[in-house]
Parts: sequence; C-alpha cells; structure tokens
Amino acid sequence: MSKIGIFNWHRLFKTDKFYLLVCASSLFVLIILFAITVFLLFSAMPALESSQTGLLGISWYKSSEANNILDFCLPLVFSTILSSLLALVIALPVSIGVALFITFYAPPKLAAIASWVIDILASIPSIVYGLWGIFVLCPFLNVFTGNLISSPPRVLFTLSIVLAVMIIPIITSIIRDIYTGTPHLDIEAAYGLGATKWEMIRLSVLPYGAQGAMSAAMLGLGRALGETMAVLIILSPGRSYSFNIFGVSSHQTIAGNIAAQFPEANSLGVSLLTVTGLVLFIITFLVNWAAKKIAKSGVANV
Amino acid sequence: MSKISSFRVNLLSKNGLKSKVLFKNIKNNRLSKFIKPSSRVISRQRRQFDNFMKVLIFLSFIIVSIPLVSIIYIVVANGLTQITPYFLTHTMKGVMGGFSPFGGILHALVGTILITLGAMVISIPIGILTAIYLVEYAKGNKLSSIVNTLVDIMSGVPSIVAGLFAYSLFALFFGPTAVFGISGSLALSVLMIPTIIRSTQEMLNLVPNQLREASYGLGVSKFRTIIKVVLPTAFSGIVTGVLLSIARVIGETAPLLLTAGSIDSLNLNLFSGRMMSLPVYIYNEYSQGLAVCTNNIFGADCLSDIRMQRAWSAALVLFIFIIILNLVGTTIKKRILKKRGK
Amino acid sequence: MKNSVFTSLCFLCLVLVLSGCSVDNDVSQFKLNPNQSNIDLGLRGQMAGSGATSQKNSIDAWKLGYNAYYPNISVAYDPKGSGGGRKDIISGASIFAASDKLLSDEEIKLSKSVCGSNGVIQIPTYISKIEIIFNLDNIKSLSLDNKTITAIFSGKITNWSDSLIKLQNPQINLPNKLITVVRRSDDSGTNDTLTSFFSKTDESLWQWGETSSWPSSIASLSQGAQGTAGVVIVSSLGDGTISYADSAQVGTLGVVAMDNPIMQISYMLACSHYNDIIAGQFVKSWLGYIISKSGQELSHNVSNSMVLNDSQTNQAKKDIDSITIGKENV
Repeated sequence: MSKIGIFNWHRLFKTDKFYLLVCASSLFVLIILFAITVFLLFSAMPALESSQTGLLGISWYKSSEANNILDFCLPLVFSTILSSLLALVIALPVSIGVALFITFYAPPKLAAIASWVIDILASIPSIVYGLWGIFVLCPFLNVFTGNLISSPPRVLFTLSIVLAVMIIPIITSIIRDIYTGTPHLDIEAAYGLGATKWEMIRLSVLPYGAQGAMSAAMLGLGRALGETMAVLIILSPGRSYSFNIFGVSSHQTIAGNIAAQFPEANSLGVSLLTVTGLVLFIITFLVNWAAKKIAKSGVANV
Repeated sequence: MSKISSFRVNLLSKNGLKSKVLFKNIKNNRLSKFIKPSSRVISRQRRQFDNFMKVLIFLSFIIVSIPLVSIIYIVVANGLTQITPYFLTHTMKGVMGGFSPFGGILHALVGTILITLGAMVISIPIGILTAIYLVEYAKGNKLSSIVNTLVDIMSGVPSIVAGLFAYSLFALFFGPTAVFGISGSLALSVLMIPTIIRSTQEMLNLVPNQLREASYGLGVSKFRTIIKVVLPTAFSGIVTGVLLSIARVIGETAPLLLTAGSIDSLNLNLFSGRMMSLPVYIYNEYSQGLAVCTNNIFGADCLSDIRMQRAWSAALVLFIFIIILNLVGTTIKKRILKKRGK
Repeated sequence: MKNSVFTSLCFLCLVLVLSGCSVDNDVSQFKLNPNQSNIDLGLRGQMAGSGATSQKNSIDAWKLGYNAYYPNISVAYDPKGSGGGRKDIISGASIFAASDKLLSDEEIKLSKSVCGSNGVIQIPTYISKIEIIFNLDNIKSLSLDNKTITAIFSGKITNWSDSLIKLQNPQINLPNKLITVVRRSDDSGTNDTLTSFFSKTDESLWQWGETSSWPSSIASLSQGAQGTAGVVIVSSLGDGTISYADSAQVGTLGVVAMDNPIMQISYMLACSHYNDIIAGQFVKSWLGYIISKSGQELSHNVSNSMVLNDSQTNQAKKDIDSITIGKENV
C-alpha cells in the first residue's frame, strides 16, 4: 500500500485509535530523547559560543586556570574515566567470582543467601554509599595510610573502592544469569575429560560467558561513570592528569563537578556545566553502545 | 574444540595415563570410552590449584558480603535512634540547630511520594503503551528498531544529566530560578521510562501466544484482545516492573538536588515552590554537619550530632522503602517466571 | 492489598491536611517573644535566602526569633557559600542573601537589573572570629604565631613535629604526624578573610593574594570540603588535620590560641527595591529584627558574635529604610 517514510499511512487511517495511541507513545519516547539532546545543547550553547574572557566571569572557571573549554573539560574526563576503570578492575574479578560461587560452588542455601546479598547491595541508594564511604571506609583506610597520605584518605582510590562495591551487583546479576545458562553438555564434557571443577569452569563456563561478561562490565562501567553522590561526599576535588590515585585533591569527576558547582553557578556557569554533562552523556552512550554491540555479537556466535 | 584437545595433551603429559582412552568429541556423540577421573589420576598440582581457586571464589563472596554487612550495620545501628512516631509525623519547620524538638522527615516523605507519583504519572502510560507497541504491533519494522535503540540509550542516561535536562527545560520557560517538584518528577521519569518499557516488554512476551490466537479466533479485535486478554494476564508482571523501577529512582539524589531543591516545611504542591525529598534530606543533614550545643541559653535538650542521627534515620527509612519494593517486586517476578516455565 | 494501601495513604493525607499545623515543631519553650504580642501584619509565604555558611548558626536562631513575631513566614536558608549567595541575589533566585565578602563593582552593576537602580544593599549583621582549628590526638589548644600558621597553610611546614611548632609549644607532646590542611573548596568569603590575613602576615610565604577560591596551584597540598560544616566534619574525621572555621561552629575540635584573632564581618544582602510587596515587607522586617537589640543579643548568645555598635546599627537602619517596595517611586 502507500508507504511514506516508516508509516503505512493508508493502513493508519483505516485502523483503530488504539494503534495510533501506542504509536504516538513510541514516538513520544523518540521525542523525549530528542528533547533531552536538544535542551541540553540549547542550554550548553551560551558556554560553547562564549569567548575565553566571557568564561572568565565564572569564578570557578577562572580559578581552574583553563585556557579554553576543552582544557577545562579534559581533566574532568580523565578523572571520570580513571576512577570508573579502576572501579571496574576491582569489581570485575569479584563479580565473576561471586557469580561462579552462586552458580557452581555454593550449596543451595548459601547460593540463595548470596543472591540475596547481591540484590540488597543493588538496592542501596548512592547517598548511603557516600555516607558509608566517608564514615566507615575512610577511617578504616586511614589506619593503613595514616601518615603517608592525607587524612582522611579522600582520594580517588577510596572512591574507586566505593564505586566498585556499587557496580558489583549489576555485573554479578547479569553474569550469573549467563553462567546459569551454560550448556550442560559443555560442563559434562569437561568433567568427562577428567577436569577438576576449576578446570571445567575455565574450559566451558568462562569462554561461554566471556562476551556476556564483557557486556556486563561495560554496563557496570556506564553506571560508575555517572555516579554523583559518592563522588560529592568522598572525593576532595582537584584538577590534574595525575595517575597518583593516592594523591589528594588531584581529581574530580564530571558528575561530581556538576553537583558541586551547580549551587554557585550563574547562567553561564550552568551552561558550562551542561557542556560537561553532554560530554558525560556521550561517553556513557558510547560505553553502553559498545556493551550492546558486544552482547549482540556474542549471541550471533552461538 | 582446540581447548579440549590441548587439554588432552596437558592431561596426558601431566599424568602419564597408563590406559589408552579415546578422547573423541563427545558433542558429536561418537562412542568413547569414558574414564572416571579418580583422585589418583588428578595430580597434586592440579588439585592444589583447584582448591586454591575454590578458596578464592569463596573469598570473593566474603569480600562482597563485608561491605553489605558494614553498610546495613551502620544504617540500622545509627538510624534506629531517631525513628520515633514524632520523627515520622513532623517536619523540620521551627527546628533550631541541635535543640529539641528535633524535627522529623514528614515533609521529605511526602515530597518523595509526591515527586515519585508525578514521575509515575508521566512514565507509566508512556512506558506501557510503548512496550505494547513494541510487542504487539511492530514486528521488526523500522520504528520499533529505532525505539529499541533509543530505549537502550535512554537507560544509559546518567541521573545528573537527566536532572540537568529537566532543569534546563523548566529554566527555559520559567527562568533560571525555576524550582519545582514536577521538575524533579520529569528528571526521574527519564530514568524510569526505559526500565518500565523493558520490564513490560518482558512480561508481555511471556503471555503465551495461544491466548492471543484464541482471542482472535473468537473474532475479538486486536485492541480488545490487548486490553481484555493480554494486559490482565501480564498485569502482575507489569506492576512488578513498575515497583522495581520506582525502587530504582526513589533513591536518586543528584537530579532532585538540581531540580526540586530543599525546604524545611511541608509543600503539597508539585507545581509551585521547592519540595524536600528523602535523599536530598539525607544529604542536607549530612552537609550541615555538627550542631552547636556549647551556648545552651534555652535550657532545652541539645544534641550536637543530631543532624547525623536524623540523616541516618532518614537513610534507614529510605532503605526500608527500597528493600520492601525490591523484595515484593523480585519475589513476584520470580514466581511469574517460574509459572511461565522460563 | 493495593487498594488498602491507597486508601490508607489518602486517609493519612486527609488527616494531615485537617490537622494543619500539628506537623510543625512546637518552639514555644524558647520564649523568644515573651512580652510582645505577635505582629504578623498578614505576612505569609516561603521566603528563600542563601549564602555564607559562617552565619548559619545565628541565622537558625534568627529564624526562630523572627517567627515568634511573624509565625506564618517560612524562611528557607540555603548555606551554599558566600559566592553562591551573591550570585543568587544578583539573579533574583534569593530574596535575601548572606556573604562574608562585599560585592565587587561588577557584581553591583549586574544587580541593578534585578534589584532596583541602586543595586544591592549590604548590611553588616554578624561580626565573629575565624578560628584556626585542628584535630590532633587529644590536644585542645596550641600556640602558633601568624607566620607559622601562614607557613602551614602555604604547605611549607608539613609535619606536626616540626621544630617551629615545637618551639612555640614546649610543654605539649607533638606526635610525628603529617599535617593535613583542610580548606574550603567553594567560593567562600571566609577564604577571602583568611587569605587576606595570610597576605598581610607574610607575602613571601603566601604568594597568592586575597582570593575566594583556594589557589589551584597549591590545591593538591590540601583537602577541600564544602562549607564551614564540611571543613569541620572532615577535620573531625581525619587525624592531624588543621583547618579554619567561624568560631560558632568549631564544636569539640582543638583551637589555636592567637594573640590577634582573625575577625570577620559578615553581611546580609538585600535588593534596594522589591516589586513583590510581600517579599519587600518580609525583607524589611527580617533585617530589622536581625539588627535590633534582641536579634543581636540572640546571635551573641548562641554564636558568641559581637553585637553591632551604635553607628553600625544606625547606618543599617537607614539602609533598611531606603528599601522601596512595589510601585513606590524609586
């Protein structure tokens, strides 16, 4: 029939109103996402168009001693990625371990408890993680780092640990579902060849779940990239490209910066923060897109 | 397969098996002589490594449990002190520093409920209708694939960016001083919509096709089939999805910090004035720090760490909310999945 | 089950609405308006202010005292820092603001579009000490001269067992601990006061002048925290920390004994003209209460601030009277 664009307009007019309603609803989702991009861009325009002198009117931009917007955003991007990657490096092995524990090693009751532990960890709001980080984890780490670094240790290392605890539930639940679906035949095949339990896992489970694990890791990474409250409470902010994760006041993430500077920001300031927000949006989008790509390619290989 | 054959080489070289065994590919169902791996056959090295990994994996469980126990302990131990009926039924209006009366979280509770209700009003219709479109009407056509991709993108939006979006939208129309509860609702709905769509999709997909076919066979229109047959069947699943998405956004602080602001007193109007919410209340109390009790000219009770006590108690209330929502949601979901034989 | 939850929620709302003010806290015990009847004047609404964290403790008390006369006004104060307060009054986001630092010429110019042709008026309301605080074992007090303090905050002295500190405190057992400087990470008027003190003490040690934002070149030598409350929290959590805060909010931290204390005058900011009649009347009555004898005495009692002297009070009264409201000719 007459097809214009993605709709079959002829059929559309003949069909019932409910179809129109649900179509409209889907279009609305499109519109919302479009609106998000448009409004953010619109809000970011003044800062993007402003000259360096205009930007110097923002007190915290001035004290950051940045030469232009790019120079302002890059240390934030660096710290955001560094903290999230470090969190992932800590979280991924633990997540895989817990997933294996639940699926293969634990007796049924213990497996139920472990699942329950993961579910509750996933429910904890990020503000509580922030409070726990500064009131429990910092003093705890202080015992070891006491005279070596700043006290309390409000540094990237501590933040990454808290971020790791936050993303472990996400990664674990996805990987656990994947590992539960490992083909029984592969498992039995490995046992049949005389493998020990760990060798069976190494042979059958890990390769099978590799792609899914990578996809889950990217999703966890996306979550860590956008975390705000824990950063706001725990991290002492600074600007540098330092890899010293124990150095105080050397890092600040994009989300933490937005939350910290927003109360003091005039309209140009909010505009500049929106620019950084857009950068964060793009980074998270790329990470999530990569996760989807990896997951899809994994499915295709089976 | 190469892994299995290389394993075979390792096995042979490490153990020096005396008997000849055919290591055929079991997947191809070829006959093979099985050997039961007796403990004599597995070398000490392999067994030690296996035990080592077993310990590591048990250790990872312990590693995960420690923060959980620590967090639950600190929230419950510190939070129980202030949870009184007074705390739950009074606002912070009139509370001065660390002096009694110590105030409560009523305005934050009501604010959280109202803002979340607002978010639900926005996101539930859109979410469910879109999911219906994706499952019932569109079978892989262009619009549905676009929408699917967009839902994935939307689920990755960081919460602070959603807050910035809601803020900039309202700032455009009402100026930079626009602070409303509904602005927070909009930000939260951006976070809720993808979750609702995905979970509703999952539940609608679980409805057996025979039901739909039977309904069509009786001459019922598609619209009525969906409304009268599919939706009621998937109803509890959809409700579960909504509960879980609420649990996800009810603890979000960052977007509400930017959009709904904070206030001491009760505000029942989503469309005017600032509105306090539980997570923002917690952050507020924390950031105001210790109260001054050294100059007690009023002679009233004074607690210098009252703000932290209130923060922990509010955190406990929030935590309980979320746990209940999650528990109810996941148990019903598991039951549904089991019923549908997944 | 869901129905009953819904109905009980509705019932709760109904109860709340009907019971009206029983959700607010009863503060009659503070007897802040003992002899005068309520003034009220029909003033009601939510009045938003923001700004300096140094005045927070007194503002909490003033809110109570003010409410004793005007019970239907809800004053909301957001302690986001002096810079945030100045920004808010200029943009119109706040009806009043508090700042430890006066507005710059540029800021006054910007304010004229929102606040009337005379821009923002600035009234001193809170005169208080900035204490140098520290958290070191159980030591309650240390003697440090101005130069030593400047050297510590400049990052030149890094350990508590440093000979210079030991010299000034011979009888105290100073441990071998790293000094962790905790400073304000926000745009803070207290930073201004402190950095100006450092500059005046020794310009060769403190080379960064007077600034509201801590200089970023030495940022990585210290920890940053948000607001007066923030530095106090972080200092209490750490061991061997040194920081600075308004004397009202130091809590149980150790205090450095100084010969000449660092004084800070903190201001309240208001527009010189309000289009909104209620807002204008509120600001006039609010500021009037704060500079009144009872307001200043209350602040002195809870925060140990210095009461305004007569000339300051008279000038303030004049400034408050000059605020125009509504359609009055500016």
